[in-house]
Amino acid sequence: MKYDVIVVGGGHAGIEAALVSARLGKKTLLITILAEQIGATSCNPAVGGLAKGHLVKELDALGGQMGLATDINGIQYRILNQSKGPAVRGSRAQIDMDKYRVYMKNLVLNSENLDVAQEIAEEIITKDGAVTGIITHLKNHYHAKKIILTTGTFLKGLIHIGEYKQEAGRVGEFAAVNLSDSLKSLGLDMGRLKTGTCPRVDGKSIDFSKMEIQPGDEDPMPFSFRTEKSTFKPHQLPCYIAYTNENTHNIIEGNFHRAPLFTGQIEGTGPRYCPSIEDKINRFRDKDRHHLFVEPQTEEATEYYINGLSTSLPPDTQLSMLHSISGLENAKIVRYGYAIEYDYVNPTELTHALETKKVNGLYCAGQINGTTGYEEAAAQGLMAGINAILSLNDEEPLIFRRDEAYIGVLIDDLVTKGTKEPYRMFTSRAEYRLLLREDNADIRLTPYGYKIGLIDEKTHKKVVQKIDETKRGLEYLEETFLTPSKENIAYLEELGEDKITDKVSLQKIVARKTFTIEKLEKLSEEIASFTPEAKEQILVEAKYKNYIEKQKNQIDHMKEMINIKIPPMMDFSEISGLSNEVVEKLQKFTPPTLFAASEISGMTPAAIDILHIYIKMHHRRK
Amino acid sequence: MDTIAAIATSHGVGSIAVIRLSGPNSLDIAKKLSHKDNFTPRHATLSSLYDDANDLIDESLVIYFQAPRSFTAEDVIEFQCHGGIVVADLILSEVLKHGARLAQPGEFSKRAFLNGRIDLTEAEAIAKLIETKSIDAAKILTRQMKGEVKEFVENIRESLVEILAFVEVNIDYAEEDLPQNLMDQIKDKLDNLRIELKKTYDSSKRREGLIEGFKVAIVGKPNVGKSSLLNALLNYDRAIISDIAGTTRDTIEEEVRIGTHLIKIVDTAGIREANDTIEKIGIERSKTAIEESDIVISMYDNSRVFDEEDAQILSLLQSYGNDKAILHVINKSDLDSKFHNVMIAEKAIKLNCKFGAETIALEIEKILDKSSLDETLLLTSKRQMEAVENTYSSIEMSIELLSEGELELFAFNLNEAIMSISSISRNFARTEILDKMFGSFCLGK
Repeated sequence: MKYDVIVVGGGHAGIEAALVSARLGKKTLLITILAEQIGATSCNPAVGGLAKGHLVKELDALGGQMGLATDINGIQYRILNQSKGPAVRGSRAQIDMDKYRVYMKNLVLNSENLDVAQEIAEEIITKDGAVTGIITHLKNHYHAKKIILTTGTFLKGLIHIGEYKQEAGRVGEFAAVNLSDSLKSLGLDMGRLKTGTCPRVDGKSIDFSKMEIQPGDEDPMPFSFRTEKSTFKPHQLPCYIAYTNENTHNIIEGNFHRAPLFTGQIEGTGPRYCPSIEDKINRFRDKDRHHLFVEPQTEEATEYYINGLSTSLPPDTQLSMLHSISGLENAKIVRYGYAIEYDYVNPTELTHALETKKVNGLYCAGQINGTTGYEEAAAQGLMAGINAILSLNDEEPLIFRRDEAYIGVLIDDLVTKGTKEPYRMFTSRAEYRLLLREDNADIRLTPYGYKIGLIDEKTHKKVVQKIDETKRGLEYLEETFLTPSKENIAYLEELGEDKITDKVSLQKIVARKTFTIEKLEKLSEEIASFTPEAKEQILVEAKYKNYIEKQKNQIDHMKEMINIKIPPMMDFSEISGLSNEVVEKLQKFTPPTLFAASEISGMTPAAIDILHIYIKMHHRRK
Repeated sequence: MDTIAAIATSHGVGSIAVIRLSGPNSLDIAKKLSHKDNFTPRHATLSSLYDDANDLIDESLVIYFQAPRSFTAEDVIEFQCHGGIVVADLILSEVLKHGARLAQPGEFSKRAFLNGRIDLTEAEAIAKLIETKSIDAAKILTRQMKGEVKEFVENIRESLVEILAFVEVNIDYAEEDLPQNLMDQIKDKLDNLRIELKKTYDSSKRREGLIEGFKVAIVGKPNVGKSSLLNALLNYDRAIISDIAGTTRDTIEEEVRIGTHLIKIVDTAGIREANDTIEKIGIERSKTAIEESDIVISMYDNSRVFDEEDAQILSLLQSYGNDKAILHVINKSDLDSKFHNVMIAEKAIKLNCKFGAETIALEIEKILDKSSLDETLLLTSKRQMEAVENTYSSIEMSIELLSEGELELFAFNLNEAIMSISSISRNFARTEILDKMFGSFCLGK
């Protein structure tokens, strides 16, 4: 059977990749081990969070699905860091994980150009260094020029609960064993990682009266730029906050000798920023309590996810540590927490288009690239899908720079630096954080989504209007100056603003922390007539303007360096003046641009200068 | 492309110093400093230069090379001002204030190559140059870095990274329960850092130009051959050599590289109690030169007897005990010996106009190799000063933002501060922050 694109895996990365491909008119096949589980949330029942929310907004601005799905299936919405600046606010939602999954599964099955096959992919077929197709466990041969692997934790997945071990991709599902070997035989560098999940507790066994309640925002905001705000009135459920205590810690510590993490049973590397509870107790003995979030898994709230209690301790320990926690004294575990080890592809094997350097037409996205998180996965899935299609159409790949999108930071980090632990996005990874905000994700990326064909005319028009109004508003603020005249000081007082002593532009005044949209509307009738989105944008841009200007030099420098391509066949060992250490690193990472080379740790400015000169010499010799 | 600037002539010597700028803002900067509206390309214009308080710095020749007809193929400005350290440095710091930045080693040549001004064979040489210069710079830095500068810089860098990590935790883990009183502690810490930076900056500023590399002083009575030795060491004929005693009235300094060390050799006027006022100033300077030097070369004349003057110098040197490395050198060893101080003759290096200078150079290298292990120095270069100054002002800004609760802007400035201080220690990678975050705080669900 012949397809244009085959996607292997029906998780958050696979869904985005398959939908992009189908929507852009390519004949697409999604191969999944269990069709029932398309869109399953294996870990917590939530989407977004800091930096992750940014990724979802960016994905949405480009025409991805996750934001819309969250708006339709959410049961609680919050903006985190509300008290901090707009650049570091993040949207987060609790979702009904069952509804979310069914919604995604139906969407996929109802999509035109998209077939689903419930099979296990076992072998990648290649010819002359390029993929031609896939063979499944049923010995079906599927052919395509582009294959996107989004296998999540399924490659040689191995589950641990205490001493119990089971080969599985997720609890209750087969692992993909042979595919991993097939990738190795293609020469890809593979590694092993570990992640884990928390116990799920029967809702009726919890005493919520002993916990702090955490409701959603009173005025919930949707994720998607395409969800109509005025009619967005979701029914919201609360989460609860509980705490571990000394007794809990003693129980855990007393069972360290039975913890797979410490006995050597688990070999893969786990994430430092999402450690299991036994790891937290081990590393931070002096902390007297740990935060737990008790989150409903579905709208019916029959089961609660005990967020913060990721563990692979034996079942009896899981139960006794839960019982030591106030409100969970009588808790009954429906599903035990577990750890899972799985194979991943070293992401330095990939180009910025997420295509493997060794095998043409083979793309990887999501946890297979060493990341963790639904949002990180979905963002990569979308980009792998877009780039596979662009390549099929003989067009240049879509690659975002670090100053354009969190997606750009994510992919650049992965493919240039690699990762040794599951990679999670943080706002602190983005050096141009003040530029990359949730509120301007549409301004930054929707024009690309429109050009590719994933964003409709109407949505695009709205964004163009937002761009235009923002620009006009900012120009007005920058070109209008106030002198400290009596009149103006009275005017400022009327606005509720401190007086000025020098001549300043309105932009400087709007940049003040005390400034609000209501005040902005009073400054100009024209601005008052703009859309609420544009007004918010003007306020935020005015606030950050001076900082953004400061970073321009750095960005220009980065752009120049990105434009200096390193020829793929460059022999670094021939360059006189580079230390052996630097040559080794260059050979290992084969950076495509001078910028990528400069991002490799251990590179010195002198080495970059020398490299730059040799690249130029290389060109001139030709 | 940014505009770069550097003093193009050897630091502190020569009757003319040249400050060169290259890049799009060169002409603008020249206009601002000279208060002139324009410069004709390739014409030398005599112009007064002013600092930002409108005080006159110097009369200088200004030459404008319009792009692409210049060495780098960019807009280039050259200021030719009066020689010496002070004027050239003043002009350079004005230029930097107006937005140029200090050029990296070999950067002018690098731009010339990248813009097609230099051919391939020359490019190889430039690559080598960048390499050696940076090794050189790295060595000098390492030498300094072994002492208090390293400790100072590393401590500040470490504290800043820690503080930034804490703030990033507050941003990236909005829901974690982190200690509340830490914000006050951060402010105190930053205040202390600010004070420390300011102190170091000010005291370095006072001593700027005094401490630049190792100093070697050549002392001895008049006409003993100090200038000839200096020239032999430099292989550079710049001191006035004559047979009349007391010709070298001033100290003469020259930079030279011996082994991996950058050193300054100071040729002093003959040390003797003189009535002649000019000579007296010279002697004062000699004493100062000994005081400031790391190594003293004490010269004697083989063709003359060890006299009262030699004895005076010797006793002056002996007063330093073992604090000062001293090389005794007996010059004119090819002439008939009248020198009879056996104690000195035994340990001295014999020198004549044909050989001996190399032996001295090797001795200097040996001593410096040893002493560079425990050197302690202050900030010694413009680049370090600039870095500390930028760190200081970024911290100052960040403190203000912290009290206003603007965490992301606070983090922005702190990040700038770390980048500045890191430019004189080691590169800053953002993963360091993450390492600190997860190393110091228990995070994650």
